[in-house]
Amino acid sequence: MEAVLKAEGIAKSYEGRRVLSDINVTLGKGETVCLLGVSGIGKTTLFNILSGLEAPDSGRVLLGGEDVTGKSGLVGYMQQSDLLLPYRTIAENAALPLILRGEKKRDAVKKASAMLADFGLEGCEKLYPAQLSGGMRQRAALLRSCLFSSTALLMDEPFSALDAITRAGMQKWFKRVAREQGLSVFLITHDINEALLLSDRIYILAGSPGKIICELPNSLPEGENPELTREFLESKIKITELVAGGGQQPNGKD
Amino acid sequence: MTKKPRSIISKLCPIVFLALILAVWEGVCRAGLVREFMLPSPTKVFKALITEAPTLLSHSRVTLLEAAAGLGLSIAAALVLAVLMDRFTLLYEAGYPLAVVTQTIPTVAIAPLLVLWFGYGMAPKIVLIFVACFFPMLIALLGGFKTADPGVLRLYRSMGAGYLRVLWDVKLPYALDSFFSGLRISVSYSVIGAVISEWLGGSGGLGVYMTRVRKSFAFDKMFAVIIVTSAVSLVLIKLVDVIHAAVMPWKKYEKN
Repeated sequence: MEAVLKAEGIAKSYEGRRVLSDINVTLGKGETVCLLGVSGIGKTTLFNILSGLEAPDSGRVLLGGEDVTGKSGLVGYMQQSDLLLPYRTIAENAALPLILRGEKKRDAVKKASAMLADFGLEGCEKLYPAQLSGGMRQRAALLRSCLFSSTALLMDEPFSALDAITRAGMQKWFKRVAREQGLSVFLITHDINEALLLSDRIYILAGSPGKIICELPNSLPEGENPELTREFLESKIKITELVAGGGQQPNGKD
Repeated sequence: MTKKPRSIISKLCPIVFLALILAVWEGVCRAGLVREFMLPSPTKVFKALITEAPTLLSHSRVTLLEAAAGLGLSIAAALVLAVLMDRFTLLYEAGYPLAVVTQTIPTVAIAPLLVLWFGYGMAPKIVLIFVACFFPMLIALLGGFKTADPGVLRLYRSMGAGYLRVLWDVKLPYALDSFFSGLRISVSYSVIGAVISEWLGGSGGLGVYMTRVRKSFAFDKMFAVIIVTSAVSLVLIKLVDVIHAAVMPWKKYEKN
């Protein structure tokens, strides 16, 4: 599979403390990959490096084969809170990346409005974020990220601020949209269920400093409720053990 | 529906209370408990307000003009300086203590100096108002810039936006709330500042009129001009609130 985003040998320290060490990850075209790990393990640091907001101490980031280490403004980055501007309408918020790119505001808003329906936001173009539910705001944020970059999308716990019922709905919806739009998504989560439900592959980040301790292919049977299948539970048990193992190699060697 | 009578009562309450105070005041004056020239009765003050209305209006015009000029200049200067101080930390560190000092200067004390330097025209008045209003506006703007969501700032950075774009798109809109609460303060400062500066001389303005009627012991007119000054401030504050609501249409949807 063609790699859209690739990180090679990433290491990062803060004030002498090593946070990440020798991270190698790839994101293939049209793929959804999860980065799973407990809180505080360095997942967001890795994403900041991938998006160019921070520079790594060593290693490099490749976007479509080109070295983009430390360059921001190239990869779409969506975060836990929707970060919609409260004083802009939904269409204006979604159109933001196009406007930043230099498109005329009117054209950009028109283009974004045309895409609202695909993201379940029909008729919301003139509304303010405060008039929408949390789930809908997160959809608008996803649309904005998609309009920013069609090559690769980083999502940092995008659904964790939502209530459980909304989250479950959003996860199903996201999976469908990701497929329809052919998105290549790198997703952070500390929720094993979410990782299993959404991703094609899972990286587990554990230990101190954080390392990728294993990479698991993930293929759940298609169906209404994949989380109720035996495969799902088996995978969940396996991953729980791996995450709890905290840096131990899966084969027992250190 | 149960809420409505309650809100009417709470609105009526201060009016009734005020009427009560005025009635007592009137009664005290009519009974001759206080000498007429010391404290004019409310009806006398009201009469003065009516007969002097044209004069008061023309003086108000002068005061308002000075207040608007001083306030306008202070807003412009505060805006420029706040942006520069936000952009350059060194300037913030150097300028902020100085800005605090300007606020501690008693306006009444420097007013005579300003007259000495700038004469009896509008200039000293505008300078005084500027000094009084500048600091609240600067603080409001600097504080407002800081309320910008750090996540949004990071998002803009991750999208490769430059400082001017961030300033226009994020910092200024986020600072609006704070700006308007600063403006509410500054608007009343500007009127008070104008009146104080007019005490020291000039040919027109509510302060000039105030000095005149005080010297002629026309206390009914004195009260009338005080009422007008208060009314002008109140109307301006209300105007600020109206503009505040008008430029932030999204506010009414934010319930938390």
